[in-house]
Amino acid sequence: MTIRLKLADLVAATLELPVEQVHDRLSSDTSESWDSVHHLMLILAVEDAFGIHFDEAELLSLTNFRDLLATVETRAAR
Amino acid sequence: MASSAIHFCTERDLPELMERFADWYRHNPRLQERAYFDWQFRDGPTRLADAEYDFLILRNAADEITGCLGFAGFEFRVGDEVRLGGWTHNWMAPQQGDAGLALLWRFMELVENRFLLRLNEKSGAVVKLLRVPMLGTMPRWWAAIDAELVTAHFNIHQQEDRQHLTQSAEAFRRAIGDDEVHRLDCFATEDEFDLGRFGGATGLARRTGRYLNWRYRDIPNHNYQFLRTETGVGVYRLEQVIGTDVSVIRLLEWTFDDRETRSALATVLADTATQNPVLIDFHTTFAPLGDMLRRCGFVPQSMTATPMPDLFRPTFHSGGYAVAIDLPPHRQARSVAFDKWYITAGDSDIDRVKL
Repeated sequence: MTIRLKLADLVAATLELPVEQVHDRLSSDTSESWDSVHHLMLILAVEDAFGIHFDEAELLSLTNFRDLLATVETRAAR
Repeated sequence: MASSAIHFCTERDLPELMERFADWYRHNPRLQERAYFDWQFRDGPTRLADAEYDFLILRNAADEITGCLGFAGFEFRVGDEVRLGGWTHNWMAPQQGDAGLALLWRFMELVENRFLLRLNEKSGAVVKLLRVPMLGTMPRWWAAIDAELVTAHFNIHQQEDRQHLTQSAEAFRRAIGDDEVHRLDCFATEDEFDLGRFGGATGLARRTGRYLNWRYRDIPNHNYQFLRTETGVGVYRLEQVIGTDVSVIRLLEWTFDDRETRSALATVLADTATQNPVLIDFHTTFAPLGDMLRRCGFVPQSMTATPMPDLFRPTFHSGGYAVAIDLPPHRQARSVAFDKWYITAGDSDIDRVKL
């Protein structure tokens, strides 16, 4: 499974969305379910699933799928 | 977040902000007062932001205020160190997506040692996800001054509960000393009171004279009374039970030892006798103080099957968590021994109606 697919599954499960609705433009601005609590749940789920750790500054900036994916792919490649 | 903006509150924001407060905090009239806001977020002894107010405002794309987060700085002792900390007030961002988290982050950027007070279910969930140790309920100790009147006014009728009330009142009466302690109008700025006599607390906000004067003397529309000995301090207020002719004595600070407590309680009773107090209580996390008060007739809140009422006037508390302590290293699972910290309900009990 690619990182993109694995991350899309995580986002869909956390935000309670159909996975088809998870795309690059999905963000906290475009999704009502992407609120503070779900954002943190998502970040923690991503950290657990990919074995990575975001610092406090990253926590807040990763509020769209595209940036989240890019960051995870970079970290996973290390 | 792209459509929202966060900035520090200025004088110009206050009319609109007070309009929002009238809606958000309609049950807490103190929070809608300009004087109270100035005292809390502008005039504190330890400011955190280089701004007019220690208060963040969230605006939407239409430039309307849609959320806020206030905070107060303070010095606290943890172990042998004095550190700078900040506690939050008025964290509000209803239906604003992840903007509530953005407000919290701006606060977290300002201070490493964070104390989050009175969290509701939503804000508590956010803090819990950050793995911040939280205390659900602030421990409370109370003593019956007049068991019969407590029974009558607070509807505590079970036989076993009434026995506890009677025993508490008898033990409390026996604990009252013959002498009294000093009353004062304000504290010397450089004074500092600690809990060394109890073996020390793991952590506490520094109870300096400067801090205590701001917290209890300068606060608008409140009326606290001060007591002290050479090394101990007491602060209390009297709260009328609405619709009755009786009152409750509420201790806000209490660092007296056994002997001093007996004299201090005699002082409190002498000064409040005309107000017909029937109950006295103290909210604190610090277990050794609770143990000491137990020897003076106080009992823990859990003592009675029918809970002793805690609110005696119209006010609103949303419940949730009492306090969360977020010290470095952040976002790591850890625990805090809250019973070794000296935290009192007075730290956040500032929105009540003046008596």
